[in-house]
Amino acid sequence: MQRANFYMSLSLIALGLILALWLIPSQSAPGERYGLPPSTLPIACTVLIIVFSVLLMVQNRPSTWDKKEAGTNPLTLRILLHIALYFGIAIAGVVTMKYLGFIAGGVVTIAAAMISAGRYSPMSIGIGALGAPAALYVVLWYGLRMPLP
Amino acid sequence: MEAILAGFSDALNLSNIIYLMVGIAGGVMVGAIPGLNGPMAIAIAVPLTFYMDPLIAIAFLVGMNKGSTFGGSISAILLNTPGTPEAVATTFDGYPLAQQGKGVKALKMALYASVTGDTFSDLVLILVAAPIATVALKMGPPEVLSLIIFALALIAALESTSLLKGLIGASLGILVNCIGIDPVSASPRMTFGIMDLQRGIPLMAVGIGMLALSEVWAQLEADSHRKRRADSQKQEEAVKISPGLSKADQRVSLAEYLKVGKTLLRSSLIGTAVGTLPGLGVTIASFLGYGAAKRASKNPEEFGKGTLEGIAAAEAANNAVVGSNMIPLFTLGIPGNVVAALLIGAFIIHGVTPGPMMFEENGRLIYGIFAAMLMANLLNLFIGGVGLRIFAKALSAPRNIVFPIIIFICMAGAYMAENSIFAIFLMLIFAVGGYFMRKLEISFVTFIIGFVLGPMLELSLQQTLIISRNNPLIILQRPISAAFLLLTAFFLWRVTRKKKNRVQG
Repeated sequence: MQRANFYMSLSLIALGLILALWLIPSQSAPGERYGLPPSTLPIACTVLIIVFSVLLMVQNRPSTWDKKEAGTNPLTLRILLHIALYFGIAIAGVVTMKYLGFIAGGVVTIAAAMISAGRYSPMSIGIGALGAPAALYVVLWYGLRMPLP
Repeated sequence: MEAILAGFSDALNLSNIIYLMVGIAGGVMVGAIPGLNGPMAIAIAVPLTFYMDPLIAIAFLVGMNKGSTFGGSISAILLNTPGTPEAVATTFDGYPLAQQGKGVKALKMALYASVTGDTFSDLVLILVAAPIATVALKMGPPEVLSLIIFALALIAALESTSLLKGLIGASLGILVNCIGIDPVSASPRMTFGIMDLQRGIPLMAVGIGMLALSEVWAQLEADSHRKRRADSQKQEEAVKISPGLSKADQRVSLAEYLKVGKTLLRSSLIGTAVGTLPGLGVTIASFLGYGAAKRASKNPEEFGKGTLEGIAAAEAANNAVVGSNMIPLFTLGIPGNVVAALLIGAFIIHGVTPGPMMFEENGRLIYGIFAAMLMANLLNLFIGGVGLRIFAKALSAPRNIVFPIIIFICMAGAYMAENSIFAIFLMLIFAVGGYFMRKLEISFVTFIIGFVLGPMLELSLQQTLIISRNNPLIILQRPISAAFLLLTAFFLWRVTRKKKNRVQG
C-alpha cells in the first residue's frame, strides 16, 4: 500500500496544482466587493489537498517502503479491466435507456451484468433481465407515478 | 405541547404505518444479504420518497435503517458472515449458538436486543434533542464554522484508516460541492460550460454512486476471483433453521431476557454515547459493547462459545447508535454518519433544512418523526419475529442475480432523483471514484459528509468574514469557537501521536 499511497499522493498534488493554478481561476467569476470571491473555497480546499498529499507522500517515501508491503498493488490490471467492463455495461444501459426506453435499458444492463458475473442460464437471465425492469416500471410508473425515460 | 401531540397523531396514520412496515421489511432483507447494507438501500430509496409526504418519507427511510441494522445479524448468526460490518461482533456468539441447533433462539435474542437498544437511544434523542437545539440556536456563524471544522476532523480521523487520507477525502468532498452556482455572487463556478452542472452535483448521484454502485462493483470483483468459492462453500455451511427443535430452543424466555438486562442497558448506553459523536460509527459501538459485557461478566470464558449475553451486548450496542446518530443532525444540522448525510438529502428534497431551526419551523414534523421512530421499533419486533424464517431465506439469494438487478436499480434511482439521464452519468462517475477510493483506502464516508457540509461551511465562513469585516481571527476571539478549534487541534494531535506510537510499537 505504501507504493500506492506514494503515487496517489503525487497524482493528487499534480491534480491540485492544475486545479488551483488553472482550472478553478478560469472557471470562477472574479471577486466581488461583498463577501469572498467565488474561487476562495475551492482554492482553499485544493491547497489543503496538496498539503495533506505532500505529508502523505513524505510518510510513504520510497526509503520507508517495506519490501513485502511495497509489492502489493491495490489497482491491478485485472481490477482496472473489471471496473472498465461494468462501467461499459452501465454506459451501454444508459444509452439504450435514452433511445429505446426504460425497460430496454434495464434488459441490456441486467443481462450483460449477469453474464459478466457468471450467470449463464438463459432462464435466469430471461426472468431477471425482463422481470426486474418490468416490475420496477409498474411500481414506479403506475404505483408511484414517477416519470421514467 | 400541541406540536408534540399533533406530531404523534400524524405518525399513527395508516399509510405511515404501511410505509414504515415496508421500509423495515426491506431494510431487514437488505441487511440479511451479505454485501448489501443499510446506507446502500437508503441511497437508492431516497428518490422513491420524492412524491411522499415528508413524514412518511423520513419514517420510511428511518424504518429501513433500523431494519437493516438488525438484518445484518441474520447472516452473522446463520452464516458466520456479517450482513453488515456492524454485525461482526454478533458472529462471535451467534454462530456458535446456531451451530448448537439454537439458531432461532440466537436470532430472537438479536431481535430483542436490537429493539431494546434502539428504543433506548430513541428515547435519549427525544429527551435531549430540543434542549440541545435551544442552545445551538444561540451559536453565531464563527461558532458554527468551528463546529463544522471540529466535526469534519473528528470524522476524518475516526472513519478513515489514515488521518491524512480522511482529511483528503473531506477536502475533496467540499471541493466537489463547490461545483455549481456560487451562493453569494450567483455566478457559475467550475461548471465548464455544462448547463446541467449549474444546479450543482446532486447528493443522490454522489450517494448512490459511491455507496451503492461502487460497493456492488467491488462485491462482484471479489466474487469473480477469491471470494466466489469461499462464499458458495459458506452458503452450503449455513445453519438451517429446523422446525423440529424444542420450544425452549426456539424462543427467548422472559427470564433469559431479564438475565441479560444489565448487559442490554450497558450496551445501550455505550451505543447511544458512541452515536452522539460524529464519525465513531456503529461497528465500534458493537465491539465496545461486546468487550464491556465480557469484562463485566462473571463467566467471561463463555463468550465466543454461544452465550446469549454476547449476542445481546453486540446487538443492543449497534442498534443504540441508530437513534443517537440523529442527535447532531436534528440539533446542529451536522450528519454524524453517512445515513444521516443521506437523510439531509431527503429533508432538503421535502423543503426542510435540518438543524436547530427545525424545532421552531417544523416542530410537528420532528415530533412525528420521533413517534415514527418509536413505532418502528415495535414494528421491527413484530416483522422481525414473524418474518424471521423468510428473511433467513434471503441468505441463499444468488449474488450474481441480485447484484446485476441492483446495478439497474441504482441507475433508475439516479434518474428519478433529477429526472435526467445526465444524473445517471454523474452517478456512474462517482461510482468509479468511490470504487478507486475503496481500493486506495480513502474514506468515501468523509467525502460524502464533506460534500454535505460544504454549503454550510461556506455560508458560515462568508457570514463570519462579513460580520467581522474580513477579520478571520474573530474565530479565536469568541470563547465557544476558540474552544472547538482547540479541541480539534488537541484531537488531531492525540490521533497522530497514538498512530505514531502504534507504528513504533
